Amino acid sequence: MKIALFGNPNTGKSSVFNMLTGLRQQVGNFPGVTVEKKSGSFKIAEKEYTLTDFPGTYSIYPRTKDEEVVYRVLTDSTSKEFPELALVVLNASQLKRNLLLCSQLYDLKIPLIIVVNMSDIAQRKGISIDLEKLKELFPGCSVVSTNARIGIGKDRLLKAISTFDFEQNKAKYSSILSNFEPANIDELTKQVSETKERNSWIDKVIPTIQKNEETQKTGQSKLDRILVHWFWGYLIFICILLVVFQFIYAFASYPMDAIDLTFLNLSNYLQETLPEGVFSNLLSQGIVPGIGGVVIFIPQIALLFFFISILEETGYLSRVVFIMDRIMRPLGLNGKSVVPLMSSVACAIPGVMSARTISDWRERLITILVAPLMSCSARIPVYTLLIALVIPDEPVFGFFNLRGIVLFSLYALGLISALVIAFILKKIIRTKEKGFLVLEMPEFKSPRWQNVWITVFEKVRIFIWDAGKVILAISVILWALASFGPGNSIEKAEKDSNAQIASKSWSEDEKNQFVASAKLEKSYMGIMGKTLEPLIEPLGYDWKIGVSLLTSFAAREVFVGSLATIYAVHDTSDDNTLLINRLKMEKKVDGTPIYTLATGCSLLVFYVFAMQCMSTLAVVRRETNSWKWPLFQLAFMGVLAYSMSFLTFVLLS
Amino acid sequence: MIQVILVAITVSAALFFLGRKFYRHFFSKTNSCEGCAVAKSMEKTA
Repeated sequence: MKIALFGNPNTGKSSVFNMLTGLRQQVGNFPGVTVEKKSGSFKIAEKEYTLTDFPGTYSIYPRTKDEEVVYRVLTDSTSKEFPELALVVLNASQLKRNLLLCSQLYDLKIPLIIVVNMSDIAQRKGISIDLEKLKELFPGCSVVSTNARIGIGKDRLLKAISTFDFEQNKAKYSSILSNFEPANIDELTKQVSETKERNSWIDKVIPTIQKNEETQKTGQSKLDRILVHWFWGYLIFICILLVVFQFIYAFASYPMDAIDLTFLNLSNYLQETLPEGVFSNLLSQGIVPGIGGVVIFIPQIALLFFFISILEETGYLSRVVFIMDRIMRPLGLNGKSVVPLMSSVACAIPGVMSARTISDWRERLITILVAPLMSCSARIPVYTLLIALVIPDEPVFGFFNLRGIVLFSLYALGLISALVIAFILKKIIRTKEKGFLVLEMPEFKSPRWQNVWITVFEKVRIFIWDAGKVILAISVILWALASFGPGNSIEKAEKDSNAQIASKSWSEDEKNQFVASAKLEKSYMGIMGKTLEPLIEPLGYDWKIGVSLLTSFAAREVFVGSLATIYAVHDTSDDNTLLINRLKMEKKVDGTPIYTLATGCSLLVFYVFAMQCMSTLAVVRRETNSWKWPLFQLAFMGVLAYSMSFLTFVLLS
Repeated sequence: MIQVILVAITVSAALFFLGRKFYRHFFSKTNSCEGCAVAKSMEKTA
């Protein structure tokens, strides 16, 4: 049986979906979390039900691309997706606004179960709903009260679904608007007059179903006044971010060191125990260090999403969206760009997709083009490695750490550059329409720890699984490129370098390192890197960094895995040397270190601006239905990254 | 010899995986947006 889930934005549809299907679809307390329909299934007494969660909409008449799907499905009863039963989720604390969509669905004579959700919040606001009266208003429909966030009402809802008999209930259906025929998508006047008619009906019936008890102004509104204040709001937000980044540095380092050491030991163990040969080398120098380069960042990714999830669960993130809108408006940006840009802090892909809520094409395009400038979680591995490499571990003002402040500054740089570039693009691509952000401030509530852990688990799983496969494949190819060269060039390099060092009074380690370097330079990877070197030399990078930059076009986090593989092939010492120490020891021909403050900061700036993500480019191509825009994005972000890194290197050298 | 064959298989598999991923991302008609309702509705409009 096909069941569809409809409702206004922020009524807890995704929570109802998760409660029924047991799936873990992302839930959020700001609009735009569900921009695609999502399907799942569940069983009641061996009968299978398919549940589809549609994007939130205030009316069946769409205002944006993501809402169009609801109109198309509901107005075409011959469509394969037309539901056999619809669940319309109402926010119990915002019943008046929610009844518009509910009345439209009812007049379409769709088998309907009305789910009155968020009953806890309504109760706290002193709102009580008379469910029997609500049922009388919609004869033939079932009415169920739930609090899907914590699973209350699940049994009631399952029972209502399994016992719902439309054939029997059909006769009871009446009409709210007589002879209702939905307006066409472009018949705006007809849509407005219908909406007005429905709203007057709602005004009339609402006092009969909803009772508001006098409630005192809670601490909620006082807190809100501070959190969205033009000065305190931003200061609190900055302080929260600083604290989050401090925690990431303070707590992640111990498990990270343990993981790093484990992979190093595993690599050494394989080297010692496996029979000598190329495949053994591939395992110990290619695959294991490559995987280690991904796994090591689990603690940081987990901590980042732990904090983001808590901020979202408590309702604070919606306040952030509100104060960010205040910054964006003077820059002439569309209010609806806020959610896509904020989503891009986790990952640019959902950010680009949620730009569908912006109805004006040019506004949407600008948002899509700048969204990848927001620092996503894939940048975390690169940022933390490079910060640990070149930024000293020093306290600032006694309680902040310099590394945490630098990490915060990189996030701020991403945001500022996204705003500035959007402002410039807005001047070039002139837009006619001005969109406004409509945001319901959710109540403050204590975080649901189950949701927090689910978010952390899912994000880490996606990071390991999606990025891990690419990193593993690239590590294998890099190892092959680093281990083989054209003809007998590697053997020749070994022979020549051995002859060169014969007369030198170097230690055995230094001699081995020299020979390994000479061999690496003559490998396919060395040739590739050396060809690239003149282009990246002005930025302070050597050819090994160049190869890692090249491979990280697949995904940013590949950079770390690539460095791990390159240096594992290159390293010949018997000591256990962690990647960060290997990088610190890396020297130029003149004996000066490669990773100086100037080089490290130049690399950090490069990763703030560069479009190093194949998946985002693919999504941009899909969303814009053209090659032109992803290529333009790749070019402008590339030029920006190159020039800003060059500037950073010159200033700090 | 076995080790060389294993390396050849692993490197080929890695190349195939990345190539397939690239193709699916950018050129495949049935990409991961199968569930993308918006795209479907836009197709219908067209």
